[in-house]
This record gives sequence, structure tokens and C-alpha cells, in this order.
Amino acid sequence: MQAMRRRIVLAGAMSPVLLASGRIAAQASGYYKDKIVTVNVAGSAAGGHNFYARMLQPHLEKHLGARELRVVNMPGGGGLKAANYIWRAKPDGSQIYFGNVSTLILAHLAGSPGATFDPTKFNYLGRVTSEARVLCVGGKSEIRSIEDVMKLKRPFVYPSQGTDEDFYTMAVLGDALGFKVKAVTGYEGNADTALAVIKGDADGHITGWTESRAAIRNGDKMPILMVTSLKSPDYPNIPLAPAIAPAAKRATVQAMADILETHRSYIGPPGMDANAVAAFRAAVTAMLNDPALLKETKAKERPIAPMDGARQQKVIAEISRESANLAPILKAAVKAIQ
Amino acid sequence: MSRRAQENIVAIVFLAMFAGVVVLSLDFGPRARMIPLPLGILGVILALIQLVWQNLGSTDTLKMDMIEVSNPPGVEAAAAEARASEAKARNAEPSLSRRAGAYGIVALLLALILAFGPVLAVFAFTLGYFVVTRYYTPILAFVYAAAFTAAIDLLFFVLLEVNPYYGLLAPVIARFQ
Amino acid sequence: MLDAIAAGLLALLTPQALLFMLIGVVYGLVIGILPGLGGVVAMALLLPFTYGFETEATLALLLGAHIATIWGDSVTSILFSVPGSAKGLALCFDGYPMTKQGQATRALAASATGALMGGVIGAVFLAICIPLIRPVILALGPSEYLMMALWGLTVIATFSEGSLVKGLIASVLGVLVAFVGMDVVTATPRFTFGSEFLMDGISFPVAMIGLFAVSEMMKLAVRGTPIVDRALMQETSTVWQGIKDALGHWWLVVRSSVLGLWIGVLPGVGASVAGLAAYAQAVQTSRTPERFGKGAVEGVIAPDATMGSNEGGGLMPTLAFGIPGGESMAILLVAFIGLGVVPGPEMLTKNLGLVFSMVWIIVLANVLVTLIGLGITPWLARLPSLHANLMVPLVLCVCLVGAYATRGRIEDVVVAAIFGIAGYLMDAYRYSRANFVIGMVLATMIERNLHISLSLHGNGFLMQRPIALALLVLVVLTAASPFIRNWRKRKRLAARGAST
Repeated sequence: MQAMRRRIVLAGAMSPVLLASGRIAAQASGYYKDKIVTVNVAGSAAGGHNFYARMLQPHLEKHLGARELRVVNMPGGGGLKAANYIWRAKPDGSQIYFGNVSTLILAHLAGSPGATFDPTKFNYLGRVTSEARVLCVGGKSEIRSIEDVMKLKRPFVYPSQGTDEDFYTMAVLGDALGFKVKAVTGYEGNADTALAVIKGDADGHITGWTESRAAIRNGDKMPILMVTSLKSPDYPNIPLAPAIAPAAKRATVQAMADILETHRSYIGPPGMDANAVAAFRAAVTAMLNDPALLKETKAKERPIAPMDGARQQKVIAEISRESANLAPILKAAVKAIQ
Repeated sequence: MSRRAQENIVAIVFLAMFAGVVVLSLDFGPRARMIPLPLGILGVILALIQLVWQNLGSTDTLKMDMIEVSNPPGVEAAAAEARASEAKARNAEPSLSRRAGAYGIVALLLALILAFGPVLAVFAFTLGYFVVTRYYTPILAFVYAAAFTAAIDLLFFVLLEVNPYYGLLAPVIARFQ
Repeated sequence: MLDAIAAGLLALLTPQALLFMLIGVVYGLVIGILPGLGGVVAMALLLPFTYGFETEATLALLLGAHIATIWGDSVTSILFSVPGSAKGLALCFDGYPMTKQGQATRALAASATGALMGGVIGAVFLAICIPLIRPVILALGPSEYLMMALWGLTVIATFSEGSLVKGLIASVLGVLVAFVGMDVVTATPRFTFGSEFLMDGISFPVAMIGLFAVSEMMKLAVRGTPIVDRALMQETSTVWQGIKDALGHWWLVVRSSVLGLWIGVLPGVGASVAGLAAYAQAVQTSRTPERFGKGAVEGVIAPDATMGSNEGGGLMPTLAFGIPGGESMAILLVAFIGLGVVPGPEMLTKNLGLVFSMVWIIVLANVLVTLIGLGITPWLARLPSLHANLMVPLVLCVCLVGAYATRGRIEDVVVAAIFGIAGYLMDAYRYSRANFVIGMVLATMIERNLHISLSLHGNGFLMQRPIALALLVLVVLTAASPFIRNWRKRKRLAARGAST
């Protein structure tokens, strides 16, 4: 209702383009018929999660066949607030989390004081996006490849904003590939860490591919490793972390890559009604294959990378098997900065 | 209560807060407490100095500077005048009931928002304020309060899409939707 | 280059672009005036509606809205001591006292003119400095940021009139309040008492709404008279006076604008620091620093000029490195991608026309804001003379709803109320609220950059960073200067007393 009121007001004020989206009812399962669903975005109105959630809102509403799909923002604790809320929510499928899932898994594994949930017990309802994380060094750095990093006689200086997923990834890489990492925390955002790398104050940092694209293209930064399982067709020469890890550590690095690839997803509370889970997963999959949406994501340059909820759940189970190896590495990394 | 007693209470509250900071900081790791711990100790020292200082002299020197930083000689006349009148107003301490009233209205509005959500609270609060202070006749008060509430709702909750909050009324609102 | 400048302007002169700029500016003014909401929110909310329009029109809408929020913030700070967002804070220090002295019109006009001049000077310098940007960004780092934050602390002495001890107590408390929450440097929750809400810390805009706005309304309720009683204090000032003030202090405006530009350029220094730094700079360079905090018009002009030029600076890291310099620039980057524009150094070669379009947008939007602003100033200036029984309920409601809207968290309303009461008490017992917020703004900047400096360069980091060392000397000198000045003045007075 809120969104519709807003649309009416703004449509009057701004442009007829806004009136375009018609609502065609075409939904598979009847579970959500006449129900109200709330999607809790783990981020503020200014963030990327919010942008996706609101772009997908009318499409998901249509595919669920719900009476109304509301999007509310629940920023806080880097997504932990929303996750804690969903952990305790009524499992009837009316309350859904949307946002970054890898941070939830890592916060749990590292024993972060804000995480009061067990991420393996959530119901995974489908991934929307995934972006390869890439380790870059400065353009003028003496380090030219991941082999150079492994041969380094001193610790690899890694600038970080705090204990985010890239911080943990670096710790796992250091452990698996056998080099020391010196994490320098306290930087204010990606621009700040990128500059530290470009200037040579620090050796390298991990970001999403798009965040580093411009700096890589003009030679300020150089990518040396991608933490993902599939090679990008555009950049076939950059090695993949799971592939170069020694056999004994390969499963750990793979688990880390899997965690990063859970990225931006819908999840539901533990013990969520089985019919609701099935209906929601089907709706997400149908939505992400809907030509109307695909056209929109292309026009807005907001790429999607779908993964079915059922498959996601299996991946999460595999990750949790590796958690005994991951947890001590993550905890040691946190201890090192305290 | 004398001015000195009030000042002492305020200084003691500060002292207690800083002491609390020192105690809590001791549990942090060495890097996490690197700044809070020394600052907490500095706060304790400053609060103690203030406490001792304001109890040394007579009442006249109470508001005197310990370390005077700036003494404005050639200030614009208007500014000086404004400050003089302000000081006068301050010396003629507002009555306790008026001050209690000021705390009361903030607490009331807060309670209304927590209980019924911002929109209803704004309406009830403005309407009540206008009526109790007799600023408007009840009918006019109703009209203006309603118009103001509508403006707030439109700006914050419709145009800016702030998540609605209904407090205790959430179940009722959910039923209507 | 001249071609690019002309082409940049021409591309903007389409009906759609001009209309969008107007929409953006009006919308930005409204958002800016609402407490708790600033430019980032304004741009984020517009973003979904920007697809499918001309590139220049889209940028005019977004940048126009962003620029308008700056003056919108200043308006409420000047009139009611209600800072619209962190940026408007410095305007409370001298703007509000001016209002209380019946000079609201002059203050508003000076602030609007200052912002315009800052915006234009910032844009011009931006165009000139494009080749210098990269070396400067690369020369300054965490150690230098640390010194800049420490320099900001020296302004504390200015607000400690009455008692330096009380002033220091207030700033120490402000620093400690900023530490509430999850410390990202060490992943340690500090002073959170196990509360999930406190993990995210005390929101700065919310704390300010409480400290300044709520407490001012409490004072009004206690007094029962308007902020400005027209029976006692006639509004004597004019718009023209304010314009003349800003023009007359052109050198201050230039200095403040250049400062704002560079603060915008440095990604590690936030915009909320810019206003305070500008204010500090105005105080430190003034021949009569004791007038500040009591209605000095320089205290209004300087922060607005800095904010105005800050936007142009913020564009630079985005353009020069393809990395967004702040939250608002991150949103702009999203818009760029949507428009098929790839930021990065090639912007400065291939897309120079577009860069100058943005420079022109900044200039034109500033002109538009100032024209609208000067036009409505006489009406705005009447608001503080409204009766307290009308003002208190309305402003108090807007403030607490604004506190909720800042992050959409109901607990923030409680925080605003608590800070309101604390602010009222601090004011009554002369513990400077300004010092408190200065401590709060600079605390994390100091802590983060100290930790980074120590990690990167070790305990002797100052020896390795000559610029930082030079800045430290400057900090010590400015911190000592009021005491030296005062000591001299006393000596002079004593000498005069002895001679008579």
C-alpha cells in the first residue's frame, strides 16, 4: 500500500514512465495467494541490496501471486540485525530476509558476538546475484603474481575496513597458500583501501570485480587471483584460488569460494513451512528467468546470477562440513587484530 | 536546591560515567582500549578537578573560569546585550514546574511514538498541545493538527518510503490491511 | 579544453536537463530541511527514476538534489538550531545566535551566497586542479588525516568560554560516545551492554537532533516566548546585507572553498568533518576569534562555502581513479554505470565534455539554489518569531520523526529524546554542546587513522611522514595560540593598569 501511494504521488509529479508496470497475475503455486509477504532488506535505502529488492519487488509479487509484497529496510550490524530478526520470525513464510548471505555465514563461523543464529538452519530460497571476488595488487607493486605473494619474505600487508568477508577470505588464502597476512584495519570504505594499494602503503586488497574494473583497466591495480570456482570468460589468465591451493587445503578454499558465492539471496526462517519454501523457491526461479525482468536488469545494468534455492541449501550443507577447518582460521584472524 | 548543589550533582554524574568507561575499557583488548582507557582516566581527572574547583570559592565565584580562554572586550553591542539578557534569564532560574514540564513533553511525545507509532503520535501530541495551551480553539486545533500530521505522513512515509511503525497498534493495523 | 567547457554547457541547455535540475533542486531543498535526512538519502531515492533519460538530465537531477540539500540543511540550523544532517552542524554555532539577535535574514542570505561562491570557486578550482589531483591524493595518507583531525580539535578552546575544564569534559564525553558500538578496527563491541541496537553505535545525526533541536525546544517550552520576540527584537537585517557580508569576506570564502575542495578529494575524510574544519579555519584565522559562537557572520559564511565546494572535490576520486570518494559518490557511480559511462582516468580525456557538464551542473544548481534561497529568505526569517506554543509541538514532532527516519529504527527516537534532555542539562550547566559534537565527529577519524599509522609505519610513524610532522607542529601552534593571545592581552591590561 505504502509503495503504491508513493508511486501514485510520484507518478503525478515526475513522469509517465513510472506507470508502465502492469500487473499480470500468473503464478504457479497457490500458497501465497491472498497473503502479505514482507521482504526485510539487510541494508539501508542507499545500498545495493535495497536497489535490487525494490527492482525485483513487482516481479516477485507477481510470481508469488501474493496479495502484497512489502519491502522494508532493516539495516544494522552489516546484515546481522535482519538475520537475527528472521531467525526468530514466525516460520509461516511471511517474513523473508534479502541481502548478503556470505557475511552471515562468516560472522557465525568467526563467532561474531552479534550473530545469534546458525546459518545452516535457515531456509535458502534462491540467489539473485553473485560476483567474483578478486585479489588485486598495486600497479607499481613488486608483486606481479600470486606466486610472488607466496614467495614473499615478509607478511603481505592487507588494508581492510574491518572484519568483512574480504578480510576473512584473505585469512583463508594466507593459511591455504602458506603466506603471512598482516591485516591493517580501520580504513574508511573501498576507496580508502584502494588508494592504500595504489599508493603502495599496502600490498593488495580484495574487492568485487566491478569495483576494481576501472582501476584495473588503467593500470592502477593488477588482479592476481580470483576467489571463485568458475573461470571468467573475459579474464581467462587470472588463476582461481581453489585450483592453485595445495590438495590438503583445497576443500577449505573451495568452501570459502562457495560461501562468497552465496552472495545476495532470499532466505527464510528455520523450520519454515515446507509448502511456503517450495512456493517461494519456485517463484524466485521463475522470476529470475522471466524475460520481462531480464530485459529490465539488462537496461539497468544490474546483472543477476540465479541459483535455485534447493541447490543453494545443498551447498550450504557442504560448507558446514568444512566449517571445522574454517572456524579456527577465521577466529585466529580476528584475534590478530585485537 | 542551591546552584552549587545542582552543579555538584552534574559533575558527579560525569565522574560516574567516566569511571564506568574506565572499568569497561579494562575488558577490551590492548588496541581496542588504546584510546578509550586514557580518555576515560582523563575524564575522571577533569571531573574531579571541576568538582573540587566549584566547591572551593564562595558562591559568587562559582561560574568563574578556572582557566580563562577568551575574554571578549570589543564584542558587538547586540551580542553582548543578548548575552546579558540571557544571563538575566538564567539567573532568574525558571521555576521547577516549568522545567519539569519541558522534560514531560519530551517524555510524553516519546511515549506516544513508541506506543502508537509516529503518525498517530504526532496528531495526538500536536492536538493536545494546541488545546492545553489554548493556542487554538479545539476545532482549529483539530484542523491544524490533522493537516500537519498529513504533511508529516506524506513527506516521510509516502514520498521518502520510511518503514511505517505502529507500536502497540501493529496487530490492529495488520488486520485492517 | 575550451571546446569541452562550451560543449559541457551546451549539453546541459536542453529543456529536459533544465527541468530536471529544477526538480532536483526543489526536492533537495525539501529533503535538506527535514532533519536527519541528507544528500545521500535524496540521491538514493531518486536513483530508481533516472533510467531512460539523457545523461546530462540524469546527472542534473541527482547532483542538483544533492547540492540543494546542503543549503536546506543550513536553513534549519540557522533558524531553529535544528541541524538537517551532519553537514549543517557548524551553522548552529553562529547562525542560530544571529537569528536570536534578529539577524536571521542576513544569516540566511550570507549562507546562501557563501554556498554559491563556494560552489563556483570549488568548480573553477576543480577544473584548474585536475592535473594536480592525483599527486595530492597519493601524497596524503592516514597519518596526515590523523593530524587534520587533531587540528579540528583545537577549535574546542573557542567554545570553552566560561570554563576550559567543563569544555574539555564535554569533548571527552563526545569522543567516548562515538566509541559506542562495534569497533571495526578490532572487531570488539564497546559500551554496548549486549544490545543489538547499540552495536551500530549512536547515529551522529540523531544525537545532534537531540542535543541541539530537542533541547532548544525544551528551552522554548520553559520560556514560553518565541525564539525571536518581535516586540523586543526587530528583524533589522536585510538580504542585501547578507550578500554583502559574503562578498566582503571573499578571502575567507576562497580559503574555505579550497579547503572544502580538498576535503572532498580525500576519500578518508568525511563531509561532516568539512563543516567543522571550515569553522575551525575561520576561527583560527580571525583577528577577533572571541566573537565566534555568539553570532559572527564569518561563522556562517565559511562552513557554507566549504560545503558548496566539497561536492566538486568529492567527484574527483570518482573521476581520477574510478573509486567513489563517499556514499553519495557511490550512488552517482551506480548512475554512471546505468548511463553506460565508465568512470576512471579516461573520463578526463575521452569524456571531458561530460566532466565539464558536471562542473556546470554544480555551478548552475548552486545559482538556482541561491536564487530560490534568497527569494524565500524573508519568509523563512519570519518563522523564528512564531509563538512558542506553535513552534514547540511542530518542531519537536518533526525532530523525533526525523530521528526515526534517519535509519528507520524506533530506538533512535529514544536516543534523540535522551540526548535532548542531556543537551538541555549541558546547556543549563555550561558544558559546551558544540565541544561534545566536535569530539564525537573527530573521534573515529582520529582512532582509525592512529591505528592505521601505527600498523603501517610503526610507533615512530611521524618520523617517516614529514608532511604529518609539519602538520603536527601546526596543530600545537594553533592549540597554544588562544592561550598566548590571552596571556598577552592580560599583560597589556596589567601594564595599562599599572601605568594609570
